[in-house]
Amino acid sequence: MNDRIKKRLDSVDEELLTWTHKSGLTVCLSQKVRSSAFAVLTVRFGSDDGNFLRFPGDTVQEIPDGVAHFLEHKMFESEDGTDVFERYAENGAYANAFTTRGHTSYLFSCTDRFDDNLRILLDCVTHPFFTEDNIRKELDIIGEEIDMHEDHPGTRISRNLMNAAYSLHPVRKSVLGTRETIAQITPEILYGCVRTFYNPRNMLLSVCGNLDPDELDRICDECLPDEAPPFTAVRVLPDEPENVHTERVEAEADIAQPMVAVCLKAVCPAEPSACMRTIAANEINLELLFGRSGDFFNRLYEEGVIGDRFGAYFSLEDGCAFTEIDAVCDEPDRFLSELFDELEQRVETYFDPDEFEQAKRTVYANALFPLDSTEDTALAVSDSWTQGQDILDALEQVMTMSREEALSVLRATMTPDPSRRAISILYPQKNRT
Amino acid sequence: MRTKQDFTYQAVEIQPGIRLHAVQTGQFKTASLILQFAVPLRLETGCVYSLLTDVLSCGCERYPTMQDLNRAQDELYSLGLNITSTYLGEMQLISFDVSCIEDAFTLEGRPLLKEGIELLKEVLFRPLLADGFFRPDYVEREKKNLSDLILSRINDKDRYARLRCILHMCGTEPFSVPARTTADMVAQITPERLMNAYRHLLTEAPVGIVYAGRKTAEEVASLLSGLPLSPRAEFRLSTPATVRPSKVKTIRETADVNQCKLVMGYRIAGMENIRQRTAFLLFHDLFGGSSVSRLFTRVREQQGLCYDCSGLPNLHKGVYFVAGGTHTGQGDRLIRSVEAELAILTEGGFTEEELSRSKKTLIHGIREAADSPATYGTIHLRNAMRGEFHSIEERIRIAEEIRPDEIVQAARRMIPDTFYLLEGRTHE
Repeated sequence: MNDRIKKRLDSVDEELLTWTHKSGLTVCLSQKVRSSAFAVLTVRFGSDDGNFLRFPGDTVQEIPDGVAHFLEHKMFESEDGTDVFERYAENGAYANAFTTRGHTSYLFSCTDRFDDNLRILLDCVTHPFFTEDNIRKELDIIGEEIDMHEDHPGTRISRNLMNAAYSLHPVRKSVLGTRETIAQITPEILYGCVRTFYNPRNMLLSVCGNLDPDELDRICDECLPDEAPPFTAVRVLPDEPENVHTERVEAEADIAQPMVAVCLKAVCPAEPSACMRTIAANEINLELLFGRSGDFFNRLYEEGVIGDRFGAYFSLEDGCAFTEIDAVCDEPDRFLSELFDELEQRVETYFDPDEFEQAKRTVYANALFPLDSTEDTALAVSDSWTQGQDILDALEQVMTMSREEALSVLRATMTPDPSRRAISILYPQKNRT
Repeated sequence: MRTKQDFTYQAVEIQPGIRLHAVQTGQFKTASLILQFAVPLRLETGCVYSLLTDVLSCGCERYPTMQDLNRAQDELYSLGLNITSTYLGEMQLISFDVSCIEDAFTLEGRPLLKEGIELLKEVLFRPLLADGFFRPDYVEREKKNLSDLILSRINDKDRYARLRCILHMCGTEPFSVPARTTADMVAQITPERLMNAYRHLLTEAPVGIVYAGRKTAEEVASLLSGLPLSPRAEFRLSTPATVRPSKVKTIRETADVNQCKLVMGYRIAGMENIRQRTAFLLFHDLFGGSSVSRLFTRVREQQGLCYDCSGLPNLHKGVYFVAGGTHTGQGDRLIRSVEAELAILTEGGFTEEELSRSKKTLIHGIREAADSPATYGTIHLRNAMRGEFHSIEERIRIAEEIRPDEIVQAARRMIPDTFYLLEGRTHE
């Protein structure tokens, strides 16, 4: 039996059981008595992995944009021609997958035959099958997916923003790639990426439901190698300048009102523990700065500068850290002026202790709501793993955050320095009636 | 792995015509209470009720600003009080939704549901008025926000295409009200109309309440006692009348899009009972409701015509939409492909294995609903609106019994009405 680590947070009645299967796969089980169970297998391979070393000392491997997402689509092919979705449907299960900058996840939900569905999932990611024909067939489908996303103004404003903020980092690129880049994909490229990244030691299986850990191990024993080779890949990221590439980008689109997006570029901490503290601190900072109970949102809402379509988030992943603030508003420059004034003030004076403690409680309480759902719990565990922690760690980081530390993080990551911020604006087309 | 659910359902009439549907369960950390009014969807009142929900969210007598109201919720462990306007067929639902952490998970055993219900009562029954009407500055602000939202329909071209199809297909039917509502209509809402809509909720509109959490039905009924709501009739959902178009309309419009957006609107010939509705849902799964449906496997995977092409049934109205996107110039080919797959199903062109898979998928969905007590409670509310009651076990049994000929009958209920294409225009 693998050494299983049980972690419990009594205050929220949550328990996680985590262990490493002999193959090297990390397994995390959240046991809940429910009708359904949910499983998500996450591979640390995403659109940011355009350049990598297969092992230390290797020459840099470069792959076309969109490979990770393309691979996600093709993992549902099988050599004998059986449809993987049909296999899931035979068990009444719902299956899907998604790709992000840092990882690819394959998931299913079921109310019966969990064991069989887990076998399908593990079989899927360990038996790839790629040919010129099945790649060619996918080009049209993913091409339509690309076109569908390009028709969304959110895609455009976001891409313009990241291209303005970042000179070199792959965050500038679309997860899907382009029609031109995916046309360069070959079976050899896909097999190479599977060999390099689809190693159980680079994966997490997060499951939530009324499940038996011994049974999970038995299924992993059936489907995975006894011991996977060492995982040796190294992501190669460029030396991104601290300053933004372009301070402001404007464009037009067929939209009703101007859309504004701001990126506050930050330096990613070197240590994983510092990264976790930064993420927790900024969850609280964003609640203070831009939450629906805060002065900034309410003042601008009452004055009619913004409406409901306003939000902010902090991202820290793959050596890239930034805060993004988005709004729909009639007067982008007025909004920007208010935003930067607010940041300058708060970096100096911050918030009083009562406000800070209330924001902490709000962030903490908000984290509890998803834990009633098998799907949301399993996905939250997966997200936390990609950040180098588990969900109970993440809650503890919030609970132990001090006002002084949160202010220090705010000053480090949300500086109002104009050289560290980029702005992207989409205006309605002048000739739209 | 299937587990017997630890919950009990009970319906309690708390006032004449007002019923509480309570699902008691000890399995969850959060509780939910939804108080929902239902009014007919009408062009004259649709945007008025939408505006009303926004204005009520701005504050009340006790918490006069939105910030005060939001802070009150934060102090209750981030309790959520959401006031929304949504649609169910040709009905408009005005909902007051309280979500909170169970008392046991607060540090001091705080009675959050009780406090959440008190907050709901403040917002609903003691709104912020000036001279007998809603505060004019709040109303003007929310009119602007609602107008902006209506104008922003153009931003999401997939959704815009669906609205345009509904507009052309349903004309003056109530179902098209969201598509027909304009920013000008919002601007013309008077203080009197807004107040009349509010009063209608308090005095006449059918209302149902759903609760899911650890308390008993009696405890929750006690917390809801004495609501200042007049006695009223309970709501009854009716079977929509079938519209039978004489011919299919094809509408083509242009916009600044890379991809052609197709929406194919069908009428569903009337279904009288749960068995027919279940058969139709199984047909939907076979046709366009899943990753093993005909639209996915044949139109997308085999023909490579689209990334997304799927079915959107609305049984409360009796309409079905196939929505998808394809390369510019391929719209007509996509229409032919979709119609071809439908024709195959109307002739029984599916296997027992395919039907069996669809049944398993549907049964999975029925069972999974029990994992969300709020969803389970809402199912009971809808059942009550129909004057029916069907347990999970009964619904599963019906699904298992559906025969292939019933699927064919379901497919033959699909009557094509309007095909809408939003195609890219060339810029000079």
